[in-house]
Amino acid sequence: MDFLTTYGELIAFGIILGTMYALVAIGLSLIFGVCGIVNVAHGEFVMLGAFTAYGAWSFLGINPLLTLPISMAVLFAIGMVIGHFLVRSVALRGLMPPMMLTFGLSLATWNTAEVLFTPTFRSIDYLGEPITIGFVTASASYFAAFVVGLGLLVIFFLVLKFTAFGKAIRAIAQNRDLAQACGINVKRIEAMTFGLGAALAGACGTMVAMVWTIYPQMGLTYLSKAFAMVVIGGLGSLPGAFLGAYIFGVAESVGTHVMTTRMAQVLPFALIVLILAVRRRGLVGAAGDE
Amino acid sequence: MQNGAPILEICDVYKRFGGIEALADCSFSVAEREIVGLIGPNGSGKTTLFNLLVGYMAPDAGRIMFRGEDIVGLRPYQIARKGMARTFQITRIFPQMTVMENLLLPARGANVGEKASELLELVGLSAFAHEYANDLSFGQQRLLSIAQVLMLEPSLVLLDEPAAGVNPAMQHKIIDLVHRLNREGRTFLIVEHNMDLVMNNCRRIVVLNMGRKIAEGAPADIRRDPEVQRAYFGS
Amino acid sequence: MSEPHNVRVPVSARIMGRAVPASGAALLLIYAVLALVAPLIFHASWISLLYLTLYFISLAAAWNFFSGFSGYINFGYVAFIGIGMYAGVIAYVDLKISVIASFIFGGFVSALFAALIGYPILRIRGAYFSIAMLAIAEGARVLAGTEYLEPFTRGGSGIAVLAGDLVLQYYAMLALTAAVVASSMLMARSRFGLSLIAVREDEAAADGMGVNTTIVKLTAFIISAFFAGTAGAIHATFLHYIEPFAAFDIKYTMLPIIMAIFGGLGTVVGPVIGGLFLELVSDYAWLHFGRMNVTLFGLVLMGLVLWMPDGVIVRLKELGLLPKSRMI
Repeated sequence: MDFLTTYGELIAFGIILGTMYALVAIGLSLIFGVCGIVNVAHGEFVMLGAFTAYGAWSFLGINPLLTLPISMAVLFAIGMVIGHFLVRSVALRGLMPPMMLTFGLSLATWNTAEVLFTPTFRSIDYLGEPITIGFVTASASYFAAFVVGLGLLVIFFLVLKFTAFGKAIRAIAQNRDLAQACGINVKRIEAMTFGLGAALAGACGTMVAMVWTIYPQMGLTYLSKAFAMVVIGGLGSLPGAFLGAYIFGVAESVGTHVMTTRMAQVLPFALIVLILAVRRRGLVGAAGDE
Repeated sequence: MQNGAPILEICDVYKRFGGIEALADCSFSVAEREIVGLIGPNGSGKTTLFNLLVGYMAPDAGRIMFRGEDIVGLRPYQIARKGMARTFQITRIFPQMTVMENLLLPARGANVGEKASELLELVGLSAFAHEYANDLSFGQQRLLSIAQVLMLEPSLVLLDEPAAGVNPAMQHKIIDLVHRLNREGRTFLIVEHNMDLVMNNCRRIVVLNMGRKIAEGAPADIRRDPEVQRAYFGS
Repeated sequence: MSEPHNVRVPVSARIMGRAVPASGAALLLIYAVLALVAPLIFHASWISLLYLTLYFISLAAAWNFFSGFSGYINFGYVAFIGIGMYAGVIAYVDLKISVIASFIFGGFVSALFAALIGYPILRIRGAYFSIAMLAIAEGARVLAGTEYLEPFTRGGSGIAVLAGDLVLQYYAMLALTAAVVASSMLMARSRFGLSLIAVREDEAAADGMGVNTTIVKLTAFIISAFFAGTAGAIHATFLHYIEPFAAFDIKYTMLPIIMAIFGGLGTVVGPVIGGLFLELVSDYAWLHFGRMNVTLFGLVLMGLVLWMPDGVIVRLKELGLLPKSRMI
């Protein structure tokens, strides 16, 4: 029975992780599916969301849950500006140039953050008391993050399914030219999608500030993990990203128990390589990929 | 191999993509030194068949025998080296290489420079040997792609709509080339939409519709075949 | 006999033999002589600068050898460098082989690694390939720090190495740079080079033209790894100390890429120009921007992608200032 409780807890915890990761993975997949861009700077959106929350907490004393809408709005704006330029630039046709450009952006962003904020590890001490719900004993912040994350995913799903914006996104993802012919302002929606992806990643970052530690270079870790997750589903597939995030969260949770923490960090990379090598476009093929 | 023996035998080939049967029960053969036409309305599976023949994909079922050997599962480069090669509907040559380099790429064996020069003579592109393929006209690129295929010294040449999008003079040139090479011993399987071209130049015609072979025979027979009429014009 | 500068001299003409322009050969000779006697003339700090320049040129050229010509953008390049570093150092420190042997050993192990992962990884195309290679490099970095490999890598504490001196390192790197650039030049004019370029332009068509794309890619991949690994092994002795985060730092994937792009992907001279230019920029950046130098590089990369996506060399060729030979 002890085995069951332990694994039960690990899996449940993995689901909490998965919910947070899903925010990042879905953003990345969305940007690729709609704009056709592999956003190598996506991890930096997480980092910026995290530091916004941290800033609000240390300077203004606002807790991360209240900062959430603000950090999401800020990231949406930033993402939209970046997206705006990316989709309009002629030089950025194809797959590689935007990838290289966002890579350059990523370098510039975390290095600047590193210099501005100093490379120390920080965290927000909010809802830090451990509580037990069901199988899991963890700080209340984890549960808060889980609830918020789940709420955001539901809202996202609703937006995608029922709003005009969401329908435009889906139209472009399926057939860009046709969407344009139907009168959709493709470039504007693409820029807004970039903003949306950034906002979701920023939301994850805000939660992370509350739950773990943050540091200027954290983006790369989240990017790598997000790649692993979207690769499971195939770049551009939202259900795939969603599924991938949960598989990854659980795998990571169980992994830290089964092997050392340091070895567990190899997991996302091993997963990416394995899945790509075995099935070139992830386990669930998506319409948008090559 | 005797004259007239089958160089290509397609047996019960089946290919599906998701829910669509691109090819089913597809069987016919091509004898040595024939010029066979492959026609059918859009979406009938002609290009899929070509892709299967040269190895870009494998059939879900069926056999493809080239010179008596089952080539299913071989990679395209292996099939090309065995002597079956194709051109593409939308011409694919290498734009960033010169005409000469385009020809040197597939070449094997000795005297490649000579062979390439000869082929350039044959298609009339000698003057452009050191021009970048990018800079050629559409029709010239088409000729280049045929010359390229010939560098492989194929016994069976698959031409995918060789006359599409080129002016009548160029079409004549290409057709003359085909006949000349055919007299020298090469076999041709040609996909075409241009009915006159097919009827006048192919000894035998195979008709596909919705992935299935609906008719096969001499041009005169095909012209009269009610199935073929229905496929193209509806009932 | 020298050629006028605007004449196209494609590879095929070179296969039939033509002379290199006299002016070019003379210049090359002067540089070669200078390079060979440099340690006798210049002060140690200048030699260090030269050494670093050569290091980056080698890295850029080796990256370009595979990625520039094949079009498969290797985002995990630093794995080759890091593996070469560790293999070379471990061979020297633990297996007690000679320094020079350790350099070759580093390259060899890296090449072996490329051979092992090459077959499955090179089947992956486009952005997925880049992602897979990125994952491999990052995985290698984390793996190098884990407990399981500690007996070899000493984990996070790293390995200190005292081997050779600056002069040896300089000449070793000079020899390597010459080897990489010469190989690129030979490759660009060969059938093998044509096959690689065909893969970049249209892999499926190349396959249909009788090119064994797998072997061609794999060969270039392994050669690229060999050079990168050797460079890493040499550099390890220059640094006197290696540890996982530095040896597998993603910076050493991006810097060669930036240099190669700057000069021009798939050209021979591109990485050389790129290496030279960016080493100077890097020095300047470090001096004047300090810890912001990575930001500068990020901005430079963005600028390059936006305004010179095909690199300096191609732009110069377009402007007619350079002959349009692929040898350059």
